[in-house]
Amino acid sequence: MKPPASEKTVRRLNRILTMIPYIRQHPNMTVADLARVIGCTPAELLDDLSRRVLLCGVPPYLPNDYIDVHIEGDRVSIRFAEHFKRPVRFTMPEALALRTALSSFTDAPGPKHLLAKLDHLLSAETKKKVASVRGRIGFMDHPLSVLQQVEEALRSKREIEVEYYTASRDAMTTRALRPYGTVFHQGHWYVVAYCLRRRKELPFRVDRIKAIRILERTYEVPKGFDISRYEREEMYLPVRGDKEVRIRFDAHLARWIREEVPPGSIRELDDGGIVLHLSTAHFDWLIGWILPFGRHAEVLSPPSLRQRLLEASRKTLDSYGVP
Amino acid sequence: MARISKTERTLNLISFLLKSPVPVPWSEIKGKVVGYDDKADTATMERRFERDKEFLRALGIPLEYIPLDKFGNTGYFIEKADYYLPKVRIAPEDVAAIDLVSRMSLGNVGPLREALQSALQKLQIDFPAPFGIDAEAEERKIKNQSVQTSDPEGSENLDLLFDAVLNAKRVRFRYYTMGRDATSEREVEPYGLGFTRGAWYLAGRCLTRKDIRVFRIARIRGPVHFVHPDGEQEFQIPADFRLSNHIGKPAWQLDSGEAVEVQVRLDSHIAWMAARSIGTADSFEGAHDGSGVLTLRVTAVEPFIRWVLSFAHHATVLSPPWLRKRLCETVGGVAEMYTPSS
Repeated sequence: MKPPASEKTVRRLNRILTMIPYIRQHPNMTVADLARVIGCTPAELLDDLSRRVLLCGVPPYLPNDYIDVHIEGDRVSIRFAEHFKRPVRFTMPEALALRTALSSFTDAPGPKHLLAKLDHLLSAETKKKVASVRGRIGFMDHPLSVLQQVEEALRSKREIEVEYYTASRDAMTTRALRPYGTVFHQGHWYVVAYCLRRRKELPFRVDRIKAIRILERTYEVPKGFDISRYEREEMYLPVRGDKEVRIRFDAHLARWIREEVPPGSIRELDDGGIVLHLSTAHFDWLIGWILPFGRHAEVLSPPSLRQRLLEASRKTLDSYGVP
Repeated sequence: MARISKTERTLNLISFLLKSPVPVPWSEIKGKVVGYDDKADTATMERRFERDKEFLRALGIPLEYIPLDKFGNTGYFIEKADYYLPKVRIAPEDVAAIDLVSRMSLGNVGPLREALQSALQKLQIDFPAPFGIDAEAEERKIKNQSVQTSDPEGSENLDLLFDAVLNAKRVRFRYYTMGRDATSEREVEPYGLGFTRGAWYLAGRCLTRKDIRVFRIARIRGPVHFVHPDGEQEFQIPADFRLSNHIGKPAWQLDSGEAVEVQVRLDSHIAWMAARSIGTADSFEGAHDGSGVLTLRVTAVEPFIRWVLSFAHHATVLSPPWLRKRLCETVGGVAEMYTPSS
């Protein structure tokens, strides 16, 4: 294993070798815009340019042997860097990461195009190495083509119409949405969107979308919208709500539950069981989560959720012809 | 003269080699390229050069040494065609794909995350508009970099296992088995890594258990070690190994029990959804009203029961009868639990 200091150097060098050709090709962009593209802070970018790139030259170190970084106001251009005209070809981990990510979209048309091009971008040696681990590192859950359509709508800021399964009413609903962003959370993709039917911002699970259509109507994402509010570590995504729930899990289940939930929300019981306390916006997802545990999990409160579980279990027994 | 930074020195070296049309011997670098021109002794200078060559390799720069003449002098050379990323024609539909990949790279993708972001940044140069990846996503990414290190040990272990899989090196770690509630020492030949249902898993031959086993990375206790830190490739992966046979299978195939054929009726609310998650050994027969019947080969009965019950009354097992009975007992217990005592 390399010591961390070397990793930092490699990371910085990598950034610089990618940044120089980009700036050459896109002269006079602002520092802020460049920093976004390069994936660093404006301060890091300026530091790289003024303290490293500017000093980079070759023997005999005459003025024209140095890369010329020109910063005027907040705009940047670079001269005398013909030898850095393109980024470095993909490294083995980069090629592997790109292939893995792209090939996980099995049923979407877009990524297949790019995937087909990828091989041409690799050196013979990298191509061989990537092939040797092919199929041994990967994302095993395949996102759906629905997701790609959501992304397309998001990019062109066009509304979508979805057929969505709503557990609360146990029905398919058709609704128009304005997608604000997507989140990959605990193995599930969500689209956070303004729902024109409910007139509010809500997260929708992409695998619950049965059909999708991109509409002509366009929209703007509100200025204050921040997708990172949805990027949380908790096991459930729906925004924290005001419904308080307490569930008791017996000793048999306790350790499985502990692995999934934040420790702060658990109270240990003397018999090895636990009581989980959570607040949620709605109960729908809880029915499908708790029912499968049988008698090993019991909702203690609120009574309305106990009632919902009683109904759900009776309906299920009904489907087996049990009175 | 102030000592110049490693970054600056390495950049000078790369510049020099990229500008040179012919191989350059070490003697042309030493004493000439800034960063190799101070008063350090020969041994220090050579160590410095060795380290920088490592950087070049890590960056994917194709550095070769080529024999110059019959006296055995060697020269260093970068093959330009292998260095420069060819121009990529990026179509509009690729951009949506790249967006998705970029968003995925924001999530919990472990060791691939950094490599993926770096690859995407390299592709930026050929994007039709300067903001191929939208600005908000980029901003979020920067914000998130601090959030991502919630489990430093887990991510270090994952990095090391990634290395171990790529280089076929044996590893040793302590593993917590949830089912037995016990921790034990394992030695494993790591075959592959897979990300599924929000977590990373390792599949490999467990030398302790003498069988292929799957390990959830988050259940590894303490650090993972190489068995032989300096060794070369230590094992061959069986030709018939498929990661998908071990990781990411439907819940009802998670154990290797005897297969039972099970039929489940799904109502029109959820049939389309459930049918998306079936395995290759399973089949789905849809009716025109949107409902359907799934035929599954179940090797893990308990996980199957939990999967079916997560659909409540929308999914009903048709056969075998003993499984229907088990389900009725489980659900009956729940109904009883919530029935107010009169």
